[in-house]
Amino acid sequence: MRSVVDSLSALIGDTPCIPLPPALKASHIYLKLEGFNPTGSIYDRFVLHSTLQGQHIAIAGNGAICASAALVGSILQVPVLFDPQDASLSVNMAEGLGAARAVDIVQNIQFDVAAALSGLIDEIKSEVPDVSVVLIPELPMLPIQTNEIKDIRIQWIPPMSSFPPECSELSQRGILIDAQSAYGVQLARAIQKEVVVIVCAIDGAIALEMEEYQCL
Amino acid sequence: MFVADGIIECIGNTPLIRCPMLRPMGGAEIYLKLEGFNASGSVKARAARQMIEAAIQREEVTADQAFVEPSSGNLGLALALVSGAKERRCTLVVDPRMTRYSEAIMRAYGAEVICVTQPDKGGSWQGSRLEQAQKIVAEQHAHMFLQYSNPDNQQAHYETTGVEIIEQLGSLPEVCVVGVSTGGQISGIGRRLKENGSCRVVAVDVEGSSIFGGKYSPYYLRGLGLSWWPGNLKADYIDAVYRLKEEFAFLSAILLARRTGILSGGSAGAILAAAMKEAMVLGPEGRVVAMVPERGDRYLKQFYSPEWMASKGYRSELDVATWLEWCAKLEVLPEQEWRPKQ
Repeated sequence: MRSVVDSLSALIGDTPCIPLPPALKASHIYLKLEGFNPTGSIYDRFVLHSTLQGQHIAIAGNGAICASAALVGSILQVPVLFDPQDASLSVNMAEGLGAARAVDIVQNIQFDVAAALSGLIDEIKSEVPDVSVVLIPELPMLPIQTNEIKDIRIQWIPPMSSFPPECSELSQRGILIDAQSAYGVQLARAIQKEVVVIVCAIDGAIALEMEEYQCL
Repeated sequence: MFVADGIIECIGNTPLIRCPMLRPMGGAEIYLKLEGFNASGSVKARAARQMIEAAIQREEVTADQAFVEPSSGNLGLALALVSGAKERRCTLVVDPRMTRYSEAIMRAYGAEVICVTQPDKGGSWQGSRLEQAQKIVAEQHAHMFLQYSNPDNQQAHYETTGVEIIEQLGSLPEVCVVGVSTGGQISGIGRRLKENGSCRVVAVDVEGSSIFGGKYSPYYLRGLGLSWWPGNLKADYIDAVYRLKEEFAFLSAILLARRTGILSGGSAGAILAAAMKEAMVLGPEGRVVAMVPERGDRYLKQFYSPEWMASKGYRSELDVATWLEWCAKLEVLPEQEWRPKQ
């Protein structure tokens, strides 16, 4: 039973790790569901390992990191400024959490991505002690040149131009994840005789809003 | 968190967060139960799981029998997820108020989605969805759950939600505030809490709903209210009822997001405002638990949008001082107006 927490930051991380459904016949593959973080993505972990310079948060770029930055702004009760170039769900989420649009943004929050990923790998190792390979989608800000973290081999899932069948194989069994992470199942199937954990970086419902991931 | 049995086990055991930033001066502590952390993103996942698993266990459904339910809201999403996880076919009868976003999620889970095009004679969509679902039951021998009267709906909350509240707090709260539509949550939670001692259970409804009296009129807020008294709603477990304007509910949810980072639906805003009033009255020694039924991402282009709020003639945000004044002015409905006569 979960203990009472005093802040939403306590609900970042410790996300569910589940086996691939038996019907997909790959008992060596597990899914780490980062969509269960508060704003629905792995980027929420980054805000736990961030350094802020100033009395407000200025975040550059679009995407899920803006929602995560807005989350930390709400938690700390500091203003969040950003200059998005699109109107994605993540941008809407950032605004819903109180982020305001501004121009000439100079980012003043630094993320210790290595520390965030180290914490993620520690969780995975405690949940799946036999893990030897972790697959992570190549996403902005992630260190795709890294091939090992805490003695665990890291394999990066590249973006794809077509929609992988694994996405609907999983969603039709109740597991809604982003298409790039679902492609990781294809890659994991090719890894024989090793236990593999796929980091499903973004909640599938949120990914559905992105034009390139259409599950219909 | 290793979850051996898969996505179904990601339903329940949701977080309980203490919110000191929402505590009124001299008032009680407020705790929020965050049901958006359930798989499928809402409290309805509990009822969906219970209704499906109980029907299978009691052999009320055959192995090849499809499920059907008139729901364009969170129950539909949850049924689609649980049906998919159990590899069962599921048809959802929806109405045009449903967003394309929700429809996409339902279809991604593998559900068939059928949309009715006309409301019933009272102007409500529930009746016409039900009629279409009943046709599917007759024509396709499908199994319908009927969340409004299915006892497994409230049983889910009796067996899980109510138990979690007591165990997470370590003892009974003095007050528990729950939104009402089908009645499953408040009846199940209320029964469990009251079995364990003295606890004030407070219902929250929205203006336009006629559950607790008055004339039904359409409203935008999802997840609260109906145009009739549902079978799962048991007055014995309710001590008081608040009925709020939806603008107040929306503004409360926006304030919750800005002050805590908790992005929720409009129903949570109504529940929070009522919880704040209860906390003001209860005093510093008490604890108020408020249910936050769902995550808010599906409303980002609705009430979280200032343009949408302006199009309805609503403000887009409220300062904390004014919000607290509005909360303080909330009054419960006179009991003789809503409690069914014995």
